[in-house]
Amino acid sequence: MKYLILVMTWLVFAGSAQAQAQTKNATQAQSSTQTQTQPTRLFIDGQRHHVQIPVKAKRIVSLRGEQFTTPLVELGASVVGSTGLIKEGINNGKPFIRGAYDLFHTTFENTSIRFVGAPAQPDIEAIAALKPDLILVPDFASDNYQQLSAVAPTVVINIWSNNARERYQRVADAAGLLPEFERLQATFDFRLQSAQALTKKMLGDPAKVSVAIAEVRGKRFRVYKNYGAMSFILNELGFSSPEIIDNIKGDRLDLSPEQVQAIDADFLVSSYAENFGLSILELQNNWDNLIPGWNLVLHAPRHNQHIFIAREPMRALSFRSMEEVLTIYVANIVTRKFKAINVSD
Amino acid sequence: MSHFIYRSKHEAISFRVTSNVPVALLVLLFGLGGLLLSSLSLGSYHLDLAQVWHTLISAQPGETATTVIWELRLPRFLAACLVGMMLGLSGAILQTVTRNPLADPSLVGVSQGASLAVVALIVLWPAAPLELRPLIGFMGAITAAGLVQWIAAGKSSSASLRFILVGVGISASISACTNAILTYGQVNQAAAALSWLAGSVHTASWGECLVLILGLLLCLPCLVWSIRPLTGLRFGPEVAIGLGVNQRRDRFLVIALAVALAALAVSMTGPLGFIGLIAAQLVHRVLRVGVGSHLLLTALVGGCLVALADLVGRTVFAPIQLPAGLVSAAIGAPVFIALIFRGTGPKQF
Repeated sequence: MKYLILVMTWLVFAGSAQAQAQTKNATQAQSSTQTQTQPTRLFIDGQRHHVQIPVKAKRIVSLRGEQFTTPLVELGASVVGSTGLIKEGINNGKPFIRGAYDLFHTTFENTSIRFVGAPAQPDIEAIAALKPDLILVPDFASDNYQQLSAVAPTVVINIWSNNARERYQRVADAAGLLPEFERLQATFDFRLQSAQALTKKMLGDPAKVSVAIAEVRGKRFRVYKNYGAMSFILNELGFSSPEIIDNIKGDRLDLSPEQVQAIDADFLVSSYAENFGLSILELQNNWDNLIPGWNLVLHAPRHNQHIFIAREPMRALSFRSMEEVLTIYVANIVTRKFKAINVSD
Repeated sequence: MSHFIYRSKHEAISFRVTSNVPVALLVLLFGLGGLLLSSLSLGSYHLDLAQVWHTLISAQPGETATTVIWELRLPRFLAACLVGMMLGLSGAILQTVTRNPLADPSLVGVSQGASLAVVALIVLWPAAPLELRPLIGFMGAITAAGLVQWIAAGKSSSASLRFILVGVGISASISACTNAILTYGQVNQAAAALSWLAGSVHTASWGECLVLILGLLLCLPCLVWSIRPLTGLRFGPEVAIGLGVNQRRDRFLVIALAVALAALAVSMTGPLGFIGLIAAQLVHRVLRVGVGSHLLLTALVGGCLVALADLVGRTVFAPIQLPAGLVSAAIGAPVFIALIFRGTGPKQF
């Protein structure tokens, strides 16, 4: 019996060790095959992985719709696969690419991009079947990095730790599309500079105008320091925000409804998402339910200075979305007459 | 019921096996074999059995099929089996020692402890290396289970009831902390934590398989040892003492063994809640067997359940991937209820 147990133990170990060796060889061979077929370069990703990636990727799989697929579509990259969501009322209940669907109407049906599962747990075999030469993964969903990098060179891009423009640049760099990025950026910068000049002309010092980004979702009263293009453009135009928002360490903060006056500002900005159970009506009902009388207490809604922005296109990482938000702010803050908070009613 | 008895040369090892055990063992091994074949041949990357066989015996480095078989499907199947076995064994031990058919690793705070530790790591320290998760999860599980054992340690004869109540209380407190972290954490990190909480073997690699194999092998002598005290403990403390079992010491040790098995499994894959409960109950309600056979069969049933859940989860709605924890609960619950309605199980633990 003792001998039987010993033999079985040895067999299990030997089998496992052999399998490990075999897969290691397979992974190394796969990487070397890709190296042979395409010119490559070294890329250090957001988690300090040193990855040999193609100089210009030809078959990209993106594992985040609004953060990667959208900018890649805007850059004209060759995306072969993307994660997506399935939600009733959007794209007839078929999978859709978050962000790219709302902004460019990019779908799995009208492009050659294949659906590879949900962002939280993509189907790695479906990705392997597409024979990608580059896989882009967000930092918060990189738990299967080892499996993905066995399929193709895999790059982790940090989402929250850098601003929209830097993040976009990283995506473009990984895809080998920095010239396209710079071309789009130049156009955007031209428009941004025009808007900044107009803001200065109309308002003087833009920092004198305060803007708060806040939402009520269910029973949460939440304020944002960083929230996609919505906060990025506010910062670029030079507006200020209430002290409580300025002092946020991170991107957002949940407040008690009793602190509502702490976010009082010239303008209030909130996002709505019609197909995600957060229509403008629902958003206003949420405010009413959690903080009755909020629109009398806060300066912005009292003077019709509460701006609503569609969340899905706004969150999609792209110059298009930045330009759209820029247009909204110019029209609703810069060029209109409004009642400043420090002027008595 | 007919049975046969095995005795080694100097009777160092001897055991009695009822005649239906080899049959059940064979059925389960065939089931596991069938699941292995299905797991290797089914998936979003199409491979027929001939291609699977060809890839197994002569893997061509650099081919996608080799990556799919050797890097994705095989370690995933192996990890599913091993995790299922460990959770099944843990559940069987806990049900026997507490004489409570509803006992499972979540009762002693293992799942909740691991969950709190890993969720805190993901949400509060998002830059932490992924390799830390199993270690932190294991430490969280052991700490929570240790806390339950420590508080529940009493002199009264109603130790099982005290243990269960303390376990439920501590587990609820830990779950509340986990929920608080999820509520106030960054949305994407909270989503990543929720994905881990669903319980899945999708990140299984050979390294994890090796850790699981090593853990199971280390626990094997303890499992063999535990058969004797469990045989006494399942009749209650008075009978156990009468049978020569050191009730307090052995009870503590077998629970520690159950905790170690579950902690290792949960730390690798996240909590697969239903397996510990259902695997032992399935065997218990179908066969009337001794403790040793019960543990062996439960381990195989647990392995089959998780392997099946993972196979179903990754193929049925592909490319949408359902976590094994979700599928095992969806498959297990109706089977469990059906078995309860059949009511064929022996009353005693």
